[in-house]
Amino acid sequence: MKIDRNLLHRYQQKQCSQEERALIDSWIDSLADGSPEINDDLLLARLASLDERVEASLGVRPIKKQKKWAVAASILIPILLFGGYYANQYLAAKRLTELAAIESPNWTKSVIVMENNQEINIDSIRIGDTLHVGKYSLVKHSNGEIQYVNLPQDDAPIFNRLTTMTGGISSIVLADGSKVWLNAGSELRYPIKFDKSSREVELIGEAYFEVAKQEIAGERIPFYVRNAKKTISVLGTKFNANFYDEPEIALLEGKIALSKTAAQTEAQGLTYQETLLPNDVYSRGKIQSSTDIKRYVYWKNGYFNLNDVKLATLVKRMEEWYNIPIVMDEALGNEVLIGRISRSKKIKEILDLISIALPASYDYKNGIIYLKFEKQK
Amino acid sequence: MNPPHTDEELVAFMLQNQQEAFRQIYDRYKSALLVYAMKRVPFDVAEDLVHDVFMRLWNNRSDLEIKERFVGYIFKSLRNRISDFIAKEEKGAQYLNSLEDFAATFSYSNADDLLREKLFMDRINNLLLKYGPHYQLILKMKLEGYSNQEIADKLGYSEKTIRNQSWSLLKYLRSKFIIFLFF
Repeated sequence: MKIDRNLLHRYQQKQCSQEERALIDSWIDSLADGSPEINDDLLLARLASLDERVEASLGVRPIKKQKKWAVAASILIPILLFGGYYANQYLAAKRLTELAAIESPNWTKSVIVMENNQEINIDSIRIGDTLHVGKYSLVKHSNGEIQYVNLPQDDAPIFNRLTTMTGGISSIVLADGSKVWLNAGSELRYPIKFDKSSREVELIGEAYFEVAKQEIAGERIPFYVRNAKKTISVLGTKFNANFYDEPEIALLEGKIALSKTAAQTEAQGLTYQETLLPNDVYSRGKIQSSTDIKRYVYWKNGYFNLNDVKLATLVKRMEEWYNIPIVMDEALGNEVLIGRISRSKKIKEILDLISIALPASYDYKNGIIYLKFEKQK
Repeated sequence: MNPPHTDEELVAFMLQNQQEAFRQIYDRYKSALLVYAMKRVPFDVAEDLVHDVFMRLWNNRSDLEIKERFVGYIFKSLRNRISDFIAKEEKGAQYLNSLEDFAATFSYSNADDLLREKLFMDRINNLLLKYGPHYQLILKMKLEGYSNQEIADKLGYSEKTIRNQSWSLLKYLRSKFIIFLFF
């Protein structure tokens, strides 16, 4: 069997053999094998555009169709004949325009999952609004912080979860006045009211804590952050806990202690062997002092940290924040930039920056960004 | 609420020039068709081809011949449009190498025709599970900040259905996230 365009034309004209037909059918079906899942936002954008076109076609042009094709052909044929180069340039430009349109997410993209599994979308609460949900109410402050008010009088513990999706950051004031900023793709489980003798929350992912000091009869009430890998025991303090993968915990103020393992509770023999002092960072099983502790919480203020971060890591954070796949040449993975970049920038602005600073160029095809190594620069 | 019309009923209405029936067919299949195309050809081409499939369906309705289930028919129309793109477009040339590679491993026996058809339908049904008629609407409403309950009320689904759908989305995002982000 000869594989050429002629075969495809015969397939079109229904003039090919059954074997050829089966081959091409199966081949087209297989073209999707290994291709990535389609990003929801891109798909929605395409669907919106398709809806508009179909509506326009139905409204304006009820049955006739020859004309449009004649017009399209009169434009397309010269392009195909003479304009290969320009068409390529045009397509590349169009792809980059599409890329430039991808905005930084400006929603918290987070939900509170209540004790009855009902979800409250944080983005749907307006600043200053009080939302009454069953036994209690939620307020959204002007800085976007969520706080519980009108808490029930009885002491039965009620646990809620704050969950952020990719591209979302959310912040909450807990019942004791402690503040928590939750990074993208993370979850915090907390009681809406703490009991008198201890405070406990559970964290998946990354969060920055500003824990309020609390004392009863001169006795400090501890605050525990629990995770499958470690428990952090806290007195009043500011720290960042990153459990995305290997635990990385950075202390800005105060004092915290870390458990060696993740045994369930203190009563079950959980002990704290490692103590962090201000500017200490626990990472890969070691404690080291950092000269630039603030970089660990750049994310909270809306920046990507670049210091001591390999490009491979930055790219992963960008993929996550903008929710778009990036394919990078391995040769670029170990490159390092300095400083920080605002997360509110469009992804194309960051790519422009990278391609100025490093021997790199980028392209955008089929919803994937390609970051390429370029020697000549 | 009346049960929704079957595809075949809608096609019959469409043949009587009822645009509303065509719109319902369009809403039922647009997302899944678009995903099928986007996974195989550049996104802008995918949009053009799906538009083309629907416009051909509507404009040629008077001489439409459908000899199988409609769902198979419409996806095969799209597959046909994709082959047309590859045959005609400049960019299609790069696909030919892939066809050659594929042909080298392909062995034909007409005994497999039924199996091939079944595999094709399985693929489509999998797509339709996720990108069914309400995919676009649910996702949009979520982005606009509607709660699951509100979406359920508006669309006449149970709240649980919507919640399950959003949880599986969340779970998917989280699993992707853990692979992407370690530092």
